[in-house]
Amino acid sequence: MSKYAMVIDMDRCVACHACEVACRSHYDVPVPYYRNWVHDLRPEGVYPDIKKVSYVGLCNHCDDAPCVKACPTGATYERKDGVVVVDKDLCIGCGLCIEACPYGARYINPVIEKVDKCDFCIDRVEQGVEPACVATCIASARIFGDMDDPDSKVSQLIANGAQPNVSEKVNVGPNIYYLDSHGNFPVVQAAFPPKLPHMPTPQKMWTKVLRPLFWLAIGGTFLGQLVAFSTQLFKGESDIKE
Amino acid sequence: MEKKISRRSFLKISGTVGTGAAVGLSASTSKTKAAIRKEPKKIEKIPSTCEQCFWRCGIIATVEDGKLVNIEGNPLHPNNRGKICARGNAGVSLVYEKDRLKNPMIRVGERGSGNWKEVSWKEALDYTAEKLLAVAKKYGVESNALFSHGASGYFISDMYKFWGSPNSAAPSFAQCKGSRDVGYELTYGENLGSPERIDLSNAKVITLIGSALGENIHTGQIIDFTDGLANGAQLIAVDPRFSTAASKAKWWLPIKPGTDTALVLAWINEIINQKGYDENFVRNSTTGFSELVSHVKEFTPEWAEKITEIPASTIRETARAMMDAKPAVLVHPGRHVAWYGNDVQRARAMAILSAILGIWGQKGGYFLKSAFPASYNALNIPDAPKPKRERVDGAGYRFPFANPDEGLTQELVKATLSQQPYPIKSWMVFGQNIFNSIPNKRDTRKAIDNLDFYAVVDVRPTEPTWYADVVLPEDTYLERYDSLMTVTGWYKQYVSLRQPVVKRQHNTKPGWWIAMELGKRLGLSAYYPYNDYEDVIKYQLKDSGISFTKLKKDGVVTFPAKIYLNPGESYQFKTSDKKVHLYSKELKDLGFDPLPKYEPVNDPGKGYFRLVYGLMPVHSHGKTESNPWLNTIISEPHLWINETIGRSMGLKNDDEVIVENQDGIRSDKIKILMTPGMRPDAVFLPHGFGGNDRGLLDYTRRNVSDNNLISKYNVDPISGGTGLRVNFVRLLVDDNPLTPTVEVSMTGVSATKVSGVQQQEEQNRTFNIQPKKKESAIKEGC
Ligand code: SF4
Ligand code: SF4
Ligand code: SF4
Repeated sequence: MSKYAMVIDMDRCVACHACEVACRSHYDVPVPYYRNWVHDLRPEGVYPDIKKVSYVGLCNHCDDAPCVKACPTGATYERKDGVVVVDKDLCIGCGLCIEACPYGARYINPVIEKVDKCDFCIDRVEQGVEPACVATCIASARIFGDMDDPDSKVSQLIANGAQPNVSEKVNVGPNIYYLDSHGNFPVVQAAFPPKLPHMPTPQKMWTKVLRPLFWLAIGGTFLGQLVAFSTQLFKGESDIKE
Repeated sequence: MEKKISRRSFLKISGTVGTGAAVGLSASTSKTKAAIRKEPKKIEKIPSTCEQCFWRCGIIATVEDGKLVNIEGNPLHPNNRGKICARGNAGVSLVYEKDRLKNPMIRVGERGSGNWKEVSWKEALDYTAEKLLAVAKKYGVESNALFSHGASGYFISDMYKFWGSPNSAAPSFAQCKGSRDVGYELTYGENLGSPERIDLSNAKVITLIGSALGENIHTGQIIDFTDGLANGAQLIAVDPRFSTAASKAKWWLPIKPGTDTALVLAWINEIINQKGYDENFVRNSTTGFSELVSHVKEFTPEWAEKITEIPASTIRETARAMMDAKPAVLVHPGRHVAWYGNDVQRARAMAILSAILGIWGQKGGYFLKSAFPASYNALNIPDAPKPKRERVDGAGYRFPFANPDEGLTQELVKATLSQQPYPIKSWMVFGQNIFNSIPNKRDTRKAIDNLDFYAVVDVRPTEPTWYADVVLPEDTYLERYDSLMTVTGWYKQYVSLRQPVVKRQHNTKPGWWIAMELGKRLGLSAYYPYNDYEDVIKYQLKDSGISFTKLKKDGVVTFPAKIYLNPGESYQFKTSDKKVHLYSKELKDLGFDPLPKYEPVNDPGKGYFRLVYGLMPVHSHGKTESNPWLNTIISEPHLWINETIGRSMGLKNDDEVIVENQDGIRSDKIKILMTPGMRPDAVFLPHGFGGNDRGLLDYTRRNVSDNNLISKYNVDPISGGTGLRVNFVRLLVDDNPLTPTVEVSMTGVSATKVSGVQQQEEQNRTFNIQPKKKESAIKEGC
């Protein structure tokens, strides 16, 4: 089995935003949303020790993904290869997963009224093509591959010290790793620490999921799924750890 | 496997959901189908060549049922090797940009009133030709002038040549790389071309003088640059601003703006003193070394320290790094070098530094150009007539080394203003924002008043479009053919094809067609023995051994290149005596300095800062600002200012200021970015953002253009290139000028202490993140 991961080589990245735009074009991501981002930080420090850093981010395809737990319909799930995906047909657009994600990786696509996020370009990957952001990266700063293969470049870079963006408080097993030899990654971590996942409260569950679903249920075809949602709901509530 | 559901059954289920859930989710379920991009009937992958900037990367467009859905890099293209930058990716959004010019228009109200009527192409071209001919009749053909740019600009500048007017100019020379090319030609007998023949990936030391690689993006060059750094190259970044390149550098040299030549002279001095130069190369392949030695004797690192504010020890250390790494030292020649109006001499200094390090034709240095192995059939057309009158911009005579093929835009503006040496009565502006490229746009604006006729050809409107008598809308580069792009100075030689990848969206035409149709109306039919440019390309390639079919299919055809000299091989330089001219007799004979000197720069004076500018990675000149995919990344420029200075003026990050230059010219409000990564005596304003574009564009914006504040400029007497970094600005809040209460050097506050200003913890640390409010998109339950 494969286990996909990405390494961002911060030493190579020139903050050109090509990856962000390639992703927008491949997935019709409407402005101003994004599945993949480059946040440029102001150069800071004390001369001569100044750092100019950009945070290149995307869904971390977390091992212990709060979004999966928060999703009441099972639309968001983790594949066996570690890729966390959203089944658009099951997504009801409640947005609970957005609040659960520590990395701000999800948004509601207003055109389709469904949640969208990076899926590691899994359709491309399954055809043996690199993710779009990796393919376009003009600095070869994005390396995608299989962590289960010890000879893969990602495995080697991770062995050589590439780090995920986790904090003492939040570690949900992210699979995006950052390589950095200029002391820039700590700047990213300080500016963009993973947020504590906001898991759905019973009240939100009511307003965002159950009430709308009640109307659906009248439509008559959703009863079975309602049971599934409730199961998810309990699971999601109980076993999130911080 | 993951979920036991195949895509087919998946779609089936969604159909069931759609019917069953009619009550609550009907709207969104019906959109679901649209969301999962409909299985297109026809997917085409069409290669072509990018023109979001002038690097011209190979691209592959994906077109689904006639709609362009994305653009990727062409892996076969030796320049960009499958990669493209943000702008290249955003070509999709250019095609569908709503602000594009869509129909030919003729002005009906006063000039500048914004009243046009849409007309047919025939009417627009007949009208244009009639006006141009009227000027020719009354004042002579030469009184018709052209400003052009870009790949399709060649067609129209050829048309003006065929017609007999010598008066055409492009900003690519005087506002860009002209002085660099002249400086290198005077030294080596040839310039380094575009794409530049620089072996970044194999260099052991890379020296960037004001070249902000990473913010200034040319894909092939960034591939090589980042490979070079990954291979362990040491980077010397000379820049008054902490650029992206500086953030990757071993040495950041925050030089006092305008003093670069002094630094380079001190490096040469040190390298000669340390005998760190390439003795063999200097002996066998150069002339004027002894003159150079005595010339630089006084230019010691200590001398340069006083001028550049770079410590002598740092100058020595970096000189040492270059000596030790030679010949794998890449001194980047720069690209936009129109800084101070003595830029040829700075380019000369850099060319001399590279020469004594012996980097010509060496791995990690400057590489060689090859002879193209194929030759194209030439069209059977008459020679262009010799113009009856001298060109008005002085290229080739008043400015002896200016390239007449590109001309001098600012001199053409001046001649139109003064109507000297003879009247200039019509302008055609082709694919260029003349208000954002040529300095002192007030002159440019005024000159328009002297014209009998003024036409604009462009893809999208810009500020100068507003005043046009006729507007001719051009196809985007994704909808047209252009001439073959043949590059001989690269790792592999190549010819790259631009072909339409998508049907034209509006009533637009390609540049070649516009030039041809106008030409025919001006009596130049003999120059246009074709009706379709595809036929021209086929004819050109017919006997070349390059198959048009293959080129159309692959987008590019490559040939091997010899880029390095063999060990011991000497190079025949293209100078009179086949040697590198360290000392330039050519310059001396025309009364210029035969060896480069440092010319002192003025200090801004209290409360003022030198205005420097540069590119942001997602924008090309003024071409991309309104592209929604790029505008969402950087929608407005931030004025960079030294943090300590800014604080002493009571400013915080993102505060808005008005910028006023020495002539009292003001910007609209601009947000500031305070950083220790900016010299205290300068401010930096990103280039490529709006002037007073009105009406034609659907979104309003503020006048935050750097060029608006560049009302003063110098002109290089050797090349005619402009010097644009000679303006001083101050900052105003509520009409009150701000004055720093501290004196600061790069190493810290040197005079008065920062008083009454707290070292604030900055709230908003990021500067280009848009308020992308995801939360607001979450629908509240009903
Ligand atoms: S980054 Fe966010 S969206 Fe991605 S798997 Fe982790 S929690 Fe889910
Ligand atoms: S494309 Fe590559 S270099 Fe450019 S911002 Fe993305 S990761 Fe960085
Ligand atoms: S560098 Fe970018 S904009 Fe320029 S030609 Fe290449 S892809 Fe296009």
